[in-house]
Amino acid sequence: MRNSPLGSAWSWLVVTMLLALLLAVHVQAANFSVKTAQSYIKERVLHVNARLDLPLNADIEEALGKGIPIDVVVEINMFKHRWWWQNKLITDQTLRRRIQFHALSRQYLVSGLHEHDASESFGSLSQALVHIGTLDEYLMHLTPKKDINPTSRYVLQLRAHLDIEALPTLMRPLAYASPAWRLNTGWTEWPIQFDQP
Amino acid sequence: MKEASFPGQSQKRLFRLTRVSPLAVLAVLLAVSLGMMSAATQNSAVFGDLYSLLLVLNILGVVLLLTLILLSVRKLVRQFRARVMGSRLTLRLFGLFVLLSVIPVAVVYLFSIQAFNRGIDNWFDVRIEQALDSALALGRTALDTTKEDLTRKARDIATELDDSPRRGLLPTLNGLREQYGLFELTLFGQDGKVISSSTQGTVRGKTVVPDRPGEAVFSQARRGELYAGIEPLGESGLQLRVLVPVVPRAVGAPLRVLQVIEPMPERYARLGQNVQAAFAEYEKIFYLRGPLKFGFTLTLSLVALSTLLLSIWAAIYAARRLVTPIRDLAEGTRAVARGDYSQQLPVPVGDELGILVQSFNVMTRRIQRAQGEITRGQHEAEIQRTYLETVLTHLSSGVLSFDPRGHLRTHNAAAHQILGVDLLSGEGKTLGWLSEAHPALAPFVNTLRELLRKAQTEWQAEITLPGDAGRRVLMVRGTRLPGLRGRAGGHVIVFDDITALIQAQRDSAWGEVARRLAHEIKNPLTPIQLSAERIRHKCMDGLPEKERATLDRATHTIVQQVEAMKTMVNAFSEYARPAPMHMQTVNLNQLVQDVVELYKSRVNPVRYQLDLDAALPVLQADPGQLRQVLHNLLLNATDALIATDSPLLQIRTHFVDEPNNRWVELHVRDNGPGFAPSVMDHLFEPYVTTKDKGTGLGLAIVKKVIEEHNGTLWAGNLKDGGANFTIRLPAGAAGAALVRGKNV
Repeated sequence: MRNSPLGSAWSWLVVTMLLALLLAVHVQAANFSVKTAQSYIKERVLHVNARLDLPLNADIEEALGKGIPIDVVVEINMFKHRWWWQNKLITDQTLRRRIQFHALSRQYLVSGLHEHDASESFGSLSQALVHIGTLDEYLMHLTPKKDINPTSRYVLQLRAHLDIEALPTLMRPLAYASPAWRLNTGWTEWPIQFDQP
Repeated sequence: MKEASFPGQSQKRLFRLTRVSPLAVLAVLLAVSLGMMSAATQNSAVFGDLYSLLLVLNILGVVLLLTLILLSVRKLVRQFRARVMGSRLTLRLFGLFVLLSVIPVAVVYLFSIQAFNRGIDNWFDVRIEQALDSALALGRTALDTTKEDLTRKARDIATELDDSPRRGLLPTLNGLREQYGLFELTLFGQDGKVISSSTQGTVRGKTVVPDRPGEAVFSQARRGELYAGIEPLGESGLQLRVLVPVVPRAVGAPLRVLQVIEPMPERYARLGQNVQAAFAEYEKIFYLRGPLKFGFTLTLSLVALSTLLLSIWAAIYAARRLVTPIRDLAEGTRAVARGDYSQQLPVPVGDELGILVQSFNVMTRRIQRAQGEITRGQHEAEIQRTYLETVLTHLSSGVLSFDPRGHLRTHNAAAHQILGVDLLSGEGKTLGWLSEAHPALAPFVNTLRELLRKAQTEWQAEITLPGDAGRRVLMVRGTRLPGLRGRAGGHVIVFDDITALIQAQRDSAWGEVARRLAHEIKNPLTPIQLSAERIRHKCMDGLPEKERATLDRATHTIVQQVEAMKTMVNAFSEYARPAPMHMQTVNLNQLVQDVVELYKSRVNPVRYQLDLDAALPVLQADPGQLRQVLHNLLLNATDALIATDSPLLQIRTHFVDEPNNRWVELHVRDNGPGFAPSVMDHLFEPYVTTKDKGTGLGLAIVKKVIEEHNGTLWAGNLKDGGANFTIRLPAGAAGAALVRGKNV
């Protein structure tokens, strides 16, 4: 039975699919990346400064130009380092920024960090992306409950990705299938210091 | 029958249901999720969020279905290769069903894809696109005009502000704002801080926070470049923002930036936003055309694939279900051909196949019943045969049967015993074999052959056979067996050794003769004797001496002879009349010793040798008669030994103790001349004697007494000369009881 045409056809199919998957993973052009990040705790407030490089490829720029809103999600996690076990999550935050092209004014509108913030407009996409990719003194308040100890080590985890689920329904399968749409910095880790000015 | 089969059937149905249900559930789930996905494709808000999950679920479902079907097909192919009964038909039906389902689904699928791709393309009209583009361009032109106007105003204001001192700037700004009819004027320092700001409405005492430009915009203006932009404001508003550098006349004085903000009139703004919204929507839809096609194709493909797979699965199921009763039937038929009639097949409900299977079941049941009857019949025949064989074996008559060609077929133990021949080796052989192997049986064979040739239905004959132990007379009866279809059958021959019977008849006849003779002769003897005595008495005295002596001699002779005759007649009547027996316990050894003692006391040259068994049991017998027997035998022997030189008489008693056979034996042997062959046959008949004296009744009486005691006796010559008598009497109660019964 193992040598039957049916069996070999089946195995060929599996091999082909695996190869296609590997290829899809490898063909990733310019991706999101975290250029630099710096953070410190001062008076129970976590200050985060970061520069994210968020280049968009032609496919996405085209979609953006055609009025499709693009969501970029930045996730920030703060961990307490534990040498003897997994790191302990102290706090986390998800920032969502939406870029949309305004055809009449030829402006790129970037939604605010919070829901009620007015959106900002930018004359060029790169300006808008730089704006999104810049975290300037972003503050995360650590409630008194959180156990913060200056002698311990704390780690900042940072990740930014393009949210495919926020795309129009019809685009999602294509976006999932295409590597051009899978933009992700992956998790990066940065040390957290205490009381830096 | 039907009611009895209900539980089994319901169980089977349940089993079938449980087998079906996983796939059926899968099918239903697949259908539901496909419906949801289809709704999501059509921009349904409810399923939109679940779209990716639904897609993955559906693909998983299809893969699962595909796996299940592949497994089923593999099983089918395996069965086909192993030449399992019914697999060929299943595969053929499966192929047919698949063909029937695949073609329509494929056709519909291809046409649908094509149709809706074309349909989507038809939604988009170049003229509409152009109109929207034009509307947008018009809007932009109108805005640009306003923007340029505002830019000019801004430059003018900047020129007027370039050397105004810092103090009293606000009134200047207010004045300028009102002069130019603007909404907001703000002056920024080089560091981006607000130097002064004037907004419509502040005159009335309200302070409004000035709208700050973006970082990029401000840095552009700081570099000395002009910025003029239209910005969307909220949902439906638009505003113009112009930033111009205010270059100071004094050297070294810091650069300032003037920002002018002017909201578009509401009507303009609304119209502009409408155009923007319509354009954006159209662009979006146009852009999403590709993904829409892809999404629809994907959904349709999944639906088509699921339908196809489900129909293939249904094909497998239907083919199996259809073929199962046929396969059962084929296997059942094969089993019946092999001789296994116990096959009962499960009856599929309803259709013609069900009727066929039911008929098969009825058929096998009937065959089985018939088979059972045949077996029972064979068994009964066997029992009958065994019964007959047993009867034949225990029959005292000899039985032989011959087939129509005269070959020996059946024989029993009695035949073997009577003929003294092992008939087993003669099975299947003709009568000729018997006469060849045993020449002594030639008269028997010849007579039989003669009678068989005559082919009478029934016949009877008496055949005399010479033998070592004397002549034997056989009574033979033959019957022709009925043959099949009127043809002649074989023969059955039944025969008995009637030698003893004839002997008994002869003895009885003799007894009768003797009794009558005695009666007839004895009666006149007394008158004769009396008359002779009276003649002598009356005539003796009147006769002369000479005649007297003659008379005396004559009458004396008469009386003497009559006396002798009387004795003889008495002896005869004694022999003929059954003597009353007085049974009591008798010690045979003691009796023998007593009798022999009597003989020893006489002047007798004979030597007596006794060999008496000490273990001899006592007998139930008439001692007087046994004594008579011993007397007769001893007398007979003594007479036979007269001419012998050293006469010897041996008497031996012996106890034979075998199972079912308890005898007391008495042997009397002499070393005399033995019996002449001529008398051997009639030794125990009355009036057979070789002696001058004697009645010839001695041995006849011996025989009579022994037989009355339920015993047997025989006589013969010894090899080294001399005669031998052997008497065998039953020992113990059985023999005695028999004797007593006979007596009563």
